[in-house]
Amino acid sequence: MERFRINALSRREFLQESALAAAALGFGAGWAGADEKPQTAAETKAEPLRIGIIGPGSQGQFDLRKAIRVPGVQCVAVCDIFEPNLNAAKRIAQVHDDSAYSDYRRLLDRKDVQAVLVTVPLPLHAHIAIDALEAGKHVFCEKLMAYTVEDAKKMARTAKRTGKVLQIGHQRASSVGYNHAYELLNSKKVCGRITHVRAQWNRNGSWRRSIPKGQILAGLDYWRDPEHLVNWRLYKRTSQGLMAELGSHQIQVVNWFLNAAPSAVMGVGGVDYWKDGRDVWDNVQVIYEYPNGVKVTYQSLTTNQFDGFQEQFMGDKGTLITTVGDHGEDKGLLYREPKAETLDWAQYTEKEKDANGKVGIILNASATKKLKTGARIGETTLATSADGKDAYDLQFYNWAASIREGKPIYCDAEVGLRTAVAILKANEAIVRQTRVVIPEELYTI
Amino acid sequence: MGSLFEIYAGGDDLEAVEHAAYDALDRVGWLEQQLSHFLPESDVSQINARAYQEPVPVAPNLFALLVRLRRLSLETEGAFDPTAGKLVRTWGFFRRGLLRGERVTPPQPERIAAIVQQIGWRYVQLDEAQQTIRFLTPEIELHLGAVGKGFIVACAADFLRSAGISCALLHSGYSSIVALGKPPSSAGWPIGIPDPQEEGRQLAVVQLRDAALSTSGSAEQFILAEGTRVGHLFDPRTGQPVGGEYSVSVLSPDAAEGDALSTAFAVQGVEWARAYCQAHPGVKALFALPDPQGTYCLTRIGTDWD
Repeated sequence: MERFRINALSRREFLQESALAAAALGFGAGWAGADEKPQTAAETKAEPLRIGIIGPGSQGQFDLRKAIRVPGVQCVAVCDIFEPNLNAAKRIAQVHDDSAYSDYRRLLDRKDVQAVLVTVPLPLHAHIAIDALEAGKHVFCEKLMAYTVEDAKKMARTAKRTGKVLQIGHQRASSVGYNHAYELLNSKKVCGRITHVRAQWNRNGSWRRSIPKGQILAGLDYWRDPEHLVNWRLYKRTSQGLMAELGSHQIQVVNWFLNAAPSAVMGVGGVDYWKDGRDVWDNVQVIYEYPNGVKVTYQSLTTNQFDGFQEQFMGDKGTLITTVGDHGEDKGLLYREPKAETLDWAQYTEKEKDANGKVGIILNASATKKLKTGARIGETTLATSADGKDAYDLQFYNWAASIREGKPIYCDAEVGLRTAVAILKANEAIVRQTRVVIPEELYTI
Repeated sequence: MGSLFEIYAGGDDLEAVEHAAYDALDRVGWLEQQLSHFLPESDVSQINARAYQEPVPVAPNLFALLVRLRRLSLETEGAFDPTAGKLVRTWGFFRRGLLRGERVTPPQPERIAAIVQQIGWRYVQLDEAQQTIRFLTPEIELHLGAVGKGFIVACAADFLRSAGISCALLHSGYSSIVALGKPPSSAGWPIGIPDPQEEGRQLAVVQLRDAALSTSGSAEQFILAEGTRVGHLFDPRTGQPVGGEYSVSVLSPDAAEGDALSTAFAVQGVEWARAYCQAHPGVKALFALPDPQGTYCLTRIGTDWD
């Protein structure tokens, strides 16, 4: 049994007496909550897309729930070497024992599986993703793309050669809000010329996961230790640490918004607080150099969560902050520099609505406030999308559209590689305690 | 801890509800690690390791909790006492992997008597200005097992509330339950009170709404010491296990306090609990006690049940 369960009850479910009776806690009775029923092809009329998942840990289960909400997407096979994860995935996908595997090759043998979610620990990404592509499956692979640059390149080349879709899980690429912010910065130039970026993902917590009880069904010796299996993020042998797990989301955005990738990096990190046996740094501070003198500072902490996570794009006309709000909504704030000319916001807003009915800028006049560092002239909420889908949902809609209709891949192998190079080189700089130059050829597949 | 933690939540925007619930679970993970008795790096373990030697800085949330627990210890006349961890340890309850009903050797009475003499908040200094804790005897050991679940459920509920969720039910291990609001079509969240003896039988159903329900009982965790059944509840004033098989459920505004009170009521008994509830109108209790035939029935304490 999973230790943590969430049961989202719709209004309809609330009104059904049977559901309420089920929700009633009868202590020893221990009602087993049913996950949301996946859609079937008949229900949605969409062309069926049959997927499998390999490695449904915490993030994988989250991805699976999102993926099967895309009309027509059905999960027909699941694979994990850890029993609690396998059981959770079976329940989410509603598949039986005969479609639950502990050897991912058996899942790839399945002819009916058209595409797979690869959500295993980082060092296994390349191996399994490549096997899946070679087996003729389309692949969604969680970020970071790979544990090494060479692995990432191999994945990219395999995708190219096989012609299969390979999408990497930097979901902000699919965010309507972030895409809108890109337009604001690059077409509307709301911040003028960008000279600096500050980004951070600060949390206050050990990052350690509790270990569910259950059998480890297969795998090499190292993975037979539940601590290594569940807390793989904390050990260098299996993890590229905070830069990879958190920073990569944001460096992907920085690369994207700046239309560039870093040319050099330096940084520091350490195991300075959570001395619990981990060898992955519990704090990292990094400075990137981008072309044209743009500097990017990045920080990720586990001891102080002030300001949470955000990216601040700082130009000579203003600062645009992108982040994700408490409810997963994309959130944008714009602070204009005092010397910058006034923007005609009303007219501007109108135009945006004409151009794309799905995106709206909501100006909050009451938020207008003089701040010491600049005039805060408006607070904008970047609509998630017209129908309330967040970046995670859209990421899988986009993936399905790329597979079915050949639409461009939102976060393809090239984006994944460019992000991975920037992250892995930052870690190298921290280890070597020096400024590391990133040659351009590292970014080419 | 390490028990099932579950959130039921509803609302117009299910996506937002789900996101808030996942965020709440993140916080649950952090808090468990802060309070755990088993993780050597947890705040509680660090305090226990060092506070007899020197004042140890305490995180603000934990400090505030300790101040509340001290008050509850005083109010319950020592029947609830989180400084008595050594007692539970000496009886052999802290060993990981302890089996239900396992046979153990009971501790020496002299050892128990010595511990009882040297525990209690009078031997703990909480320095409000410095936010530090110091133990004045080596026998003090903080053990938040009786209230940890309730505290964490309450924190998760607070988080959901601040995220705009107005309709949710949260529980940790079925023994600490918090209701935010109520389902639209009923008077409250229906919670079954189980028969301590007969599995599957419910003694009553409580409609929980904007309140916490905490249950303590000797029926669930026990060991055998020289053939005698010893429950995991102790009277910190005598060092002896609380006898009998029964359970106490407390309905109160706050799950951490409810947890503490259900423990104290189990130790103090029905009549003491009745007096406490009269003095504290927000608190009600349900005692599941065996009648002379051995069948369990409920005794309701406090006003306005139903």
